[in-house]
Amino acid sequence: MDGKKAKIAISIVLVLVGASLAVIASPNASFARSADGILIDFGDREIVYTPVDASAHPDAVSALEYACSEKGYVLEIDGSSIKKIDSRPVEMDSRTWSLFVTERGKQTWIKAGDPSKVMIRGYSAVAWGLCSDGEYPTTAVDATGVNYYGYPTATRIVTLSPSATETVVAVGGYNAIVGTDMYSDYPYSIVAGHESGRIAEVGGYSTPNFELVLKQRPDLVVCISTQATHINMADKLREKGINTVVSFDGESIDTILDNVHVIGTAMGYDLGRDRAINIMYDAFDSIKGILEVDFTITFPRVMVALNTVKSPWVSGGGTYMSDILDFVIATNVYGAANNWIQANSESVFTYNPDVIMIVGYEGLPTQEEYDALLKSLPAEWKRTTAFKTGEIYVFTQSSADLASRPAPRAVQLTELVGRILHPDSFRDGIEVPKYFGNEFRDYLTITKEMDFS
Amino acid sequence: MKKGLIIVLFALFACAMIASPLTASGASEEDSAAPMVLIDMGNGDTYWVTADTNGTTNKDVLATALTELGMTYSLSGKISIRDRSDFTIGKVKTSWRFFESGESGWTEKSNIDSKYGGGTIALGYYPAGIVPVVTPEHMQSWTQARGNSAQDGHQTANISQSPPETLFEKNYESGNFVCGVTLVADGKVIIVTGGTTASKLNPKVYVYDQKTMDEVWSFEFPTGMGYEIATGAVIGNYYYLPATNGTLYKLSLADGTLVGALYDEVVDTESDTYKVLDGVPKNAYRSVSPESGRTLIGTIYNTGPSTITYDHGTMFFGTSSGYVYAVDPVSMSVLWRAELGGRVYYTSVTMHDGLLYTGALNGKLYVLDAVTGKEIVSETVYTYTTTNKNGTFVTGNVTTPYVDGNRIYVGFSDGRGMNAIYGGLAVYTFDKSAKTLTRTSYTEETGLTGNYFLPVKNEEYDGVYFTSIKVPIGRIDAQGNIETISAKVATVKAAMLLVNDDTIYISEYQAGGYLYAMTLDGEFIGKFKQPDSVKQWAMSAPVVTDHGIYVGTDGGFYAVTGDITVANAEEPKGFSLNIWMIMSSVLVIIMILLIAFIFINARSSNTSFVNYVKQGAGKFAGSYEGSKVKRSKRRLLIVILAGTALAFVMFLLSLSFGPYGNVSITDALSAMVSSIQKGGMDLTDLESAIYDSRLPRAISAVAVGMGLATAGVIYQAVIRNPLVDPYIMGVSAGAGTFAVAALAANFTFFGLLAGSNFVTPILAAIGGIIAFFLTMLLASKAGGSSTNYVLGGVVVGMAFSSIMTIMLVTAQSEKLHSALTWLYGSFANAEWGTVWLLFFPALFFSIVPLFWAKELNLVLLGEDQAKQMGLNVKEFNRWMLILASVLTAVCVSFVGIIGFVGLVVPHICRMILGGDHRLVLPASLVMGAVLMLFADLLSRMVMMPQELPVGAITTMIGVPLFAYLLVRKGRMYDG
Repeated sequence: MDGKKAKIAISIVLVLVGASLAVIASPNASFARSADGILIDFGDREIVYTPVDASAHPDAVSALEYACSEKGYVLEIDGSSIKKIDSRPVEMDSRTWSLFVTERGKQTWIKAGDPSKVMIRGYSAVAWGLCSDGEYPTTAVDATGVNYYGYPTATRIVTLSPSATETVVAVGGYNAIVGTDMYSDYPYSIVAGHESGRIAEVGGYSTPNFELVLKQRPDLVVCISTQATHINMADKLREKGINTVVSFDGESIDTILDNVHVIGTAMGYDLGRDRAINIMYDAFDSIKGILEVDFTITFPRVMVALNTVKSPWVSGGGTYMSDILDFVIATNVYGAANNWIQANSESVFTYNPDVIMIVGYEGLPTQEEYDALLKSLPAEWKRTTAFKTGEIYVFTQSSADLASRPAPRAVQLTELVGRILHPDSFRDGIEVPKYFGNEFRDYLTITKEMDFS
Repeated sequence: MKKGLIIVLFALFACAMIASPLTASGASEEDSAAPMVLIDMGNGDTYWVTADTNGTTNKDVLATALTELGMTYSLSGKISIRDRSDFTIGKVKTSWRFFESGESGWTEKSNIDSKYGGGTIALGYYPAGIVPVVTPEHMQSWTQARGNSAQDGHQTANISQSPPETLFEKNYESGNFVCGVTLVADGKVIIVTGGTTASKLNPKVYVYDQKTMDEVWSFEFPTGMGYEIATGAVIGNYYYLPATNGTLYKLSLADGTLVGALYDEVVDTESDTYKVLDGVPKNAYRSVSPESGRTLIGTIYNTGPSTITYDHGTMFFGTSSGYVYAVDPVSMSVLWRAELGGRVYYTSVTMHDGLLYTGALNGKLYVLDAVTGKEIVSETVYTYTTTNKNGTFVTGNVTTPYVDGNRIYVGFSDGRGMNAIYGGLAVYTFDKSAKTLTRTSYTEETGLTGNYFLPVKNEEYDGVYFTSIKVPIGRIDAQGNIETISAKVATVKAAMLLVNDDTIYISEYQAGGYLYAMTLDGEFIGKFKQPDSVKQWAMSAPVVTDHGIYVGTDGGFYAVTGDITVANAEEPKGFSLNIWMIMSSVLVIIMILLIAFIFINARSSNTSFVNYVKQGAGKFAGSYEGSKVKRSKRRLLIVILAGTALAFVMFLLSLSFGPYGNVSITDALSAMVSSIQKGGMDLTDLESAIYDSRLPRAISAVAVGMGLATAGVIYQAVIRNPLVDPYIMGVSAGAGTFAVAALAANFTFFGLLAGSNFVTPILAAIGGIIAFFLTMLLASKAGGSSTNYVLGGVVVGMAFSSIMTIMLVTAQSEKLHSALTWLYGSFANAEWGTVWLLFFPALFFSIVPLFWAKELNLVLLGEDQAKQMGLNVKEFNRWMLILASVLTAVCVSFVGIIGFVGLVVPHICRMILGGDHRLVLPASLVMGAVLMLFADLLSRMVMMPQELPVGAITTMIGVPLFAYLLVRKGRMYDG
């Protein structure tokens, strides 16, 4: 009997020890850094970062005063309320300056209380933002809540996804790239780099290899937040003291611009970053301008499908593709759904799109193959206005990559989709064919050269 | 039963008639023989009530009428009704005036104390010189864009219950845009056509006779900039027309004679104002320039005065030049002009409680004093900053406010006209004494909203309905809670109209779209397709009257008589999803309860379930006694009949429901028959939904349900292990590996199948069978016992799974979607091209084991006993396993891996019927089909239009049923 009690006691002890050791031994590291400086956000991603010695300028107001003197801005201040910085806001601009902070370990801005009592070292990030009501500055922390300001200029960069690679190249970092995932194939110089051995492959898209990444001795690694393996990788790299930035899920034009800002800043390529962002803004403004002056414009109803089966996978709301449709004045018929969904076959003609875009056909079809594709479409697809009016477009090769990689080339996709949906608005007679591949740039004018290669 | 229903309906109808002697904005025009009393609020709202002919003075008659209408009033001294009494704006003095109806229309009388003459009389809230628009001949009117100055868009109409038909349709050729709201007054219908300087035709007013739709008069005027989208007003005997050429015209309602006009020469100096033109319109007008001396904020494509609001004897309207005007309609002189910070267009001024509320294209909401035009308070609702090479611009827009007490509902946008992209809704509270506007809620989740709200205030709801880009039709209450009412109509740009407090009329934006009637709960109860001659985008709000429904489109104008909620023959009437879902769920629950009830009763009376049913059936059919064989045959018959009936019902239900729309079983059946007769060609949408989408799915579901359940029974019997399912032999892993290879890695079996539509199913079948034979090989080498089969299957399955995992992990992300769909199983892509390839093998292979049920019973006794009974167990087992595995491979190859059915259906049947395979096999066959049909139905309905993996659904349905039976009968597995 005693033997049994002893056995029970030993068993309980072993279980308890095992469980508590597991908790104690696990590293409880947080990589959320304190703010070492102050941000001034003028809106539209015009953001100025100034490193601040927190012992000399501990609070947000004195740090701002220091930053303004460093940057040569005239600061109009009334008590601790900021009227104007560098003469902004201008007349008729209803935005006002407010102080925002990101708490450590968090990812969102909150409006701060009395600015003179906000100690910048107590937060992950502190920013003065020129914002209208309900608006927030551009995020100062990446998708894992880590402040990305103040990294030194990166000279050896490893990227873990095609969209990250394209973004790094877009801000001018091609020469610094020493490793990418195996699917990164744009711009073509990356492929050449892989072939010559200058750029290493460090694993698959969802399976990056930690050792191969380390082997490149990177000073910056760019991960994306949609892959759990990337976030895990970021933690391990940060433990090793390697600067790592995790970009946001590129679900909209806005997050793509955010990612350019985040990645460009983390790379320390401020000029390249601003250039890329300005090119993108200009392109978006030009496209919007063209569509805006067209009085006769209508809202076409669009379905974006990954395949041509009866119940296809389609782009719902909350996707990058859907946001672009919104932008070019069109309605995503599946906009009410969230993310990519498998759509019911009946809904294809019940929702009756005016235009169907098929993304991801294998290879570039010939006219015969395109005709055969139309002929082989399921009966439900053939009931749509899109089929009846022949408005079915097939994106292949690199034009299909555009649609699946939320990166700066979104501007080209936007013009391409805008031209497909509103051919008359552009008034230059260019007609986008029903299927296209690598030559898609031939149908662009505004963004023809904006391929960031 | 039917008679009872008719009586109840009749009684309700009678009560409704008695309880509502009044009608707002119009009553039926035919019952006007009796003398009536009109109370005309002077803001578009009119109320008719039968006169109390017993009254001695006019005052008595009016008092009775006002009491009956439930209005607060005072008729002694200065008349005041609903807090409306003498009111002065500049030289316009409005008060309650008394009118008598005579041969020449209304005549104003000085005194209400005079003796009542027995005729029709009226009190109207007007200044001198204006008489009520409505008359005993034409009791109904719609005199401004939203019916009244509160902008509520409510109308009362007695619509004839006949099926709808087109009364009138007209395409105005190149001047065809009808964008403003149709007005109705004095038995006439007024529309304005015209758009853009590109049009060859000048804009034109057309006035039609309401009954015959013959043209009464028309008025052509010079074109300005943009579409004629502003809506005028009818006041007294005149029609006031705001034109994009900058002019406000005053026309005689009777014949269209131009009586006066105001012209906005806009706007360089402070002295500029509306000028009176000398009678005749100029031949050429200078367009109102958007680039004047002042900075005008906001993008619009139109110029001139905007939509007119009439109240207190005064017209109020905004202009493209950034002013709000108050104009006296009698003298056509400007009473005051208020300059706002941005253009005032696409919006109407709302009047509430003596104050004016309006938005402007600088994104601000303004509250103005109606008497002076002075700003009381303003607040920025939303602004959008654009920076380009011309500088930084801050714009915004606030749509027509709706004011309820101190609550103000507004929509807002980025102020970039038709091409605005950002927008939303906000609710403000106005504190009159403190002169403050406080925002209480704000959202951008709706995106751009329509220009007008539709307020609804009843026992169930207090808020406003709206249309928007992201929530097609929704509503928001005072707390800012947003609900989607319907997403059925993709885009609605026209304002909605509420008729008789219960039906919302909606004109769909889509060219060739519909005019819809919807209940307040979002149920669509009627629709009418745009006539082809006017087929175009529609942005003009519908107007509903006794004589017709009027709808403008960018292609012209049409009128509909009759009731669009009366079904017309070719449109199957939709059924509400909820009612049908609830009904079918209730049906299923009742069936389950019934089975459970019979089962429990059978237990308590110590008879088996089947015996119990049989006894019942026996009682029903007269007593019978028979041999054991006979009894078993009867059992079998009952199982097959009941199961088939259940499967048949499920089959019909799965034809009736779908994202296209839910229809009754009879409609579904007739659509199925007609579509089959047509051979699948030239189908209507409903026929296509049933023939192309639902029928192949249902057939596939039946096939796979039968196949997997049968395979499950065989495996469980042969391997003598209750945990076994059809995938135990590695078939699913083998099939899955090959399918993923085809879907995610473009494997085409070394090019043999390149370009074939059947790559995936063929490869899956091949993979399944390869895996199975590997298992067989392994098991027979190991001795061929049932445990060997299980172990062999597990190992082979793992080997394949590992290959599949590697392919999945390394596949490109876009291709994973198709692979996942297959791996989780789905009937969503079932099509006629493959359905028979699946159905016939599944059906006939499933029938084969029925002939071997006796042998399967023997196998269950154990190998030795079975041998003693003369069965070559090893041989038999091998062939049965081959059959079951091929069956599984066939099922899996077309629709993917659907779990649970094959494991659990056999157990359920065994628990209910006992272990005899002669009963279990046929029961599993039908139960498998039933469960699969139901799961497939749910998989497409639960998150419409999204498809869910059917395997997950089968598990969700099956687990509770299985758990119940396990608890009740689990002991049969002991020992």
